[in-house]
Amino acid sequence: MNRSSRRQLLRITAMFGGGVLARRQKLLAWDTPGKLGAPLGPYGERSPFEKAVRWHRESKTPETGSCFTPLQASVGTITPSSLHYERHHSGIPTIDPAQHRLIIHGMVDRPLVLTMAEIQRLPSITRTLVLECGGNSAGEWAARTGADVQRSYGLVSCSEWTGVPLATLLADVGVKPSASWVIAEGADACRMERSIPLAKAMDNTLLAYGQNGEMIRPSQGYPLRLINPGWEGNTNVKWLHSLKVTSQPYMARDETSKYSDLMPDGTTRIFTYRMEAKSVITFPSGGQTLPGVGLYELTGLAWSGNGKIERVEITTDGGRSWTAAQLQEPRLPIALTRFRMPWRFEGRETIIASRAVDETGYVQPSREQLIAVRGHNSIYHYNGTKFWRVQANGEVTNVDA
Amino acid sequence: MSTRNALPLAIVVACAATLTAQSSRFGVGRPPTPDDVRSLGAAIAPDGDGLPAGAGTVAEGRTVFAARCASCHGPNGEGGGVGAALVGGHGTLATARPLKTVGSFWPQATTVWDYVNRAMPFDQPGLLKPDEVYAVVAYILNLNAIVGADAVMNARTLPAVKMPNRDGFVADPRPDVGSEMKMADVNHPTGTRGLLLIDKLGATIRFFDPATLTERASIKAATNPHDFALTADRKTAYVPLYGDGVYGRNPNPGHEVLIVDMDSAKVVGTIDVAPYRAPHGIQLDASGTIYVTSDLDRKLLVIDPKARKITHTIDTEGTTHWIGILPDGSKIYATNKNDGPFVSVIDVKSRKMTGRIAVPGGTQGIAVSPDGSRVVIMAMAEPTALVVDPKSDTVVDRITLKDQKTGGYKAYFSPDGKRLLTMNSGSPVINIFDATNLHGAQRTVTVGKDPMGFAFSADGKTALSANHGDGTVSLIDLEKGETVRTFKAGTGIETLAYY
Repeated sequence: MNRSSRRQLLRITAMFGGGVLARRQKLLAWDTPGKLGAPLGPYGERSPFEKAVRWHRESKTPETGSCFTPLQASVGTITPSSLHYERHHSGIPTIDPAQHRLIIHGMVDRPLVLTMAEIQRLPSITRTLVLECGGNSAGEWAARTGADVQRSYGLVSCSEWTGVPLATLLADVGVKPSASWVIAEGADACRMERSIPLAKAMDNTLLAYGQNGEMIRPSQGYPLRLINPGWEGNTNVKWLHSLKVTSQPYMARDETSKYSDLMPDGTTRIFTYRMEAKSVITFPSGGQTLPGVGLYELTGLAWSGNGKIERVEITTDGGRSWTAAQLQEPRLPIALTRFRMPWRFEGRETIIASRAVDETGYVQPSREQLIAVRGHNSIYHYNGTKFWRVQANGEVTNVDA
Repeated sequence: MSTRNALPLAIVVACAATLTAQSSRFGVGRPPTPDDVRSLGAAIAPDGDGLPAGAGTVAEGRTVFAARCASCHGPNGEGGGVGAALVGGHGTLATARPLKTVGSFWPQATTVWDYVNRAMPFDQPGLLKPDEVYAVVAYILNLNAIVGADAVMNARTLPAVKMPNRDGFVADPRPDVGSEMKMADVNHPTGTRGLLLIDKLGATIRFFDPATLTERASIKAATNPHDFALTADRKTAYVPLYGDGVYGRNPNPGHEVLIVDMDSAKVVGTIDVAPYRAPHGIQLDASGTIYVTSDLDRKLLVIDPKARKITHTIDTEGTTHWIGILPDGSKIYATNKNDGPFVSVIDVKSRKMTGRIAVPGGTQGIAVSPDGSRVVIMAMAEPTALVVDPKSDTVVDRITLKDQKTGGYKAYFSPDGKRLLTMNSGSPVINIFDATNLHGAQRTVTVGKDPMGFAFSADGKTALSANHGDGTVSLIDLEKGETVRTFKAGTGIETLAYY
């Protein structure tokens, strides 16, 4: 019923006096005049009732450090751009895209300087890809493991990336036959530098400028970054301004001193690029409380740098038995995959975990299996299973080793 | 799995002819000027390429350090403030509390120069001039007792500095944990990254895209390879060069094993096995040691791949052509054609032949089950597969190959242990067994001419047959037991594997 006919009805009923009709009017919403909502606007915000934000780990220098995605509040498989994890080494530069240049040089036939406008004219593709910091879950090596999913697994996010395959550009400039590496450098204050094998660059490396339907965010490398699908975050150089083709790796600080994995025998694994299969239950997870007994949808995320997730297994008896969860289709290679399983909480303490298997047959290992091979000091590439304890009262905590 | 993206090649090719060598085929960009490259700042290679003119002494470095570095890194580089410790930690890397500093951990001195130059001081990166960078690097190296107090660092002396931990870095060996396939399966490769084919007749190593089954790279070899072994991480292949002949008629034997980098599809080294000749059947143990046969010299060669040298030779008492190593690495079984009516049993630890398994009529191929419970030996003189129990080194079963008239030839277990596939001499028909019940039904499948090798897909559903007699490979549906398609591959592939 529209407003004018409502007013007419009220007038008519008022004419006939109060009584039952008048009382009934006060119960109805029609009694209160409608209030106009907020106006339309040029760039949307989420509801003020939504509070999940990144967690910025305390750091002696605010420009370096990490900011963790609130996975416990995640829905679906795409990470909202504003919640994409951050890991910077000298802060976020402000770059005018009209001034930004990409220089391709070194062992090439035709070195090139490109503007952003020129890069965006080249044949492009779009891929949904997970990005994970090599140091994600570094706290899990210790016996006191992370209290919630954000702090323990939150340096991982998934966006839809758009850009130019680096192979396209390398074919255009002509790579000399004896070249075997590409040295990528960013325009941040510390000029982050990483050596990328030419084989990877020619395989599926992307020069990305698009993130989730718009230009990349400054926190993710505006206006241009490298994306090496399935490889640790640091190799995906942000604010990219130079690609130098060479015949040797440059042994940058961030692939030698950092992002290398110290083994118990004192040797260190170098160029440990790939992120292996991993998963974690995001609900119910540490810090959350189940309101009561009953049916819930247990859910979480799985991913692998080596391709598609083949299956995710869930245990609700502390690891004695495992059952396959449902996977959200289509399962994309090297992207977050949502898994779900209906689960009844009976008000008894339960220990739950997920375990991913990817299409290569690789099974996500336990913390014990990882430590048995790599010791406690390798820092990077922790991909163990994460156990949560659902207490009898519904409170969920982590499980210390 | 490669996801290389196809270019709009027709457009590119059409435009190519009209453009000069100096311009982009897409018509974008311009050549960089020296100023463009200079504006990037220095990028220093480990051999010193990129280091600018300039020099600095330890004494000069002390001054720079006190002014620019000490506030974060401590007056003596001990760290504790905002900056990391630069000094100390020697000898701690293998302990429970390692301290990784420039001195104890960094592999190159050039990295110190490069990083200080581009990223330091933290709040004003790039502040220091080249002379100052040389000086402060000299000072930090001196604090770590790597250079003397009178050292001068410049573009010549800096790359020559050998850092204490330079040789402490190893290649990524993963997957190292979490695989459903155990370490044992180093000799039962599968995967989705690529497809390796050893083109014996074409003397070429070929790399195919496993999804499209089309060639994407190849390496021509000096002489003909027959077999290969892939390291556990599938990043390296060892390919012995047998020679241009066949067993029993190999007048120009090879003497090298090629080391092939799988990611770049390039030969990155060779292992010379001279004076031994014609390296052929090859397997690895879990530590990566290579075992390769020399039928002409009646030996099994033990090779350290890091040193690229033979470390031991084992007399097999026969013209050993193929071998199979148990997953636990304890024993190797060597087949000797019909040179002698036995299989040689070798104890790996003592590197000695310790026994024989009698097989009148001689033996051809050999397949070790992925769980190490059985070894299948193909009888040369009859269409029979012998099953050996590796605990007792005795033949415990004999399987007649259905619909086969010629002698047994090669055999392969699938990496998941579910199936055994066998071939017979000169027969285009292969037999597929349920590995858990070798006396059960056998499926026979026609492939191409003279199959010699199999590859198994990671999902266990299909296999490839290398039909070396007609230059083709057949894709076999293992569940249906039929050839799905046959495609051309090189001249005559003998062995192949997904990885």
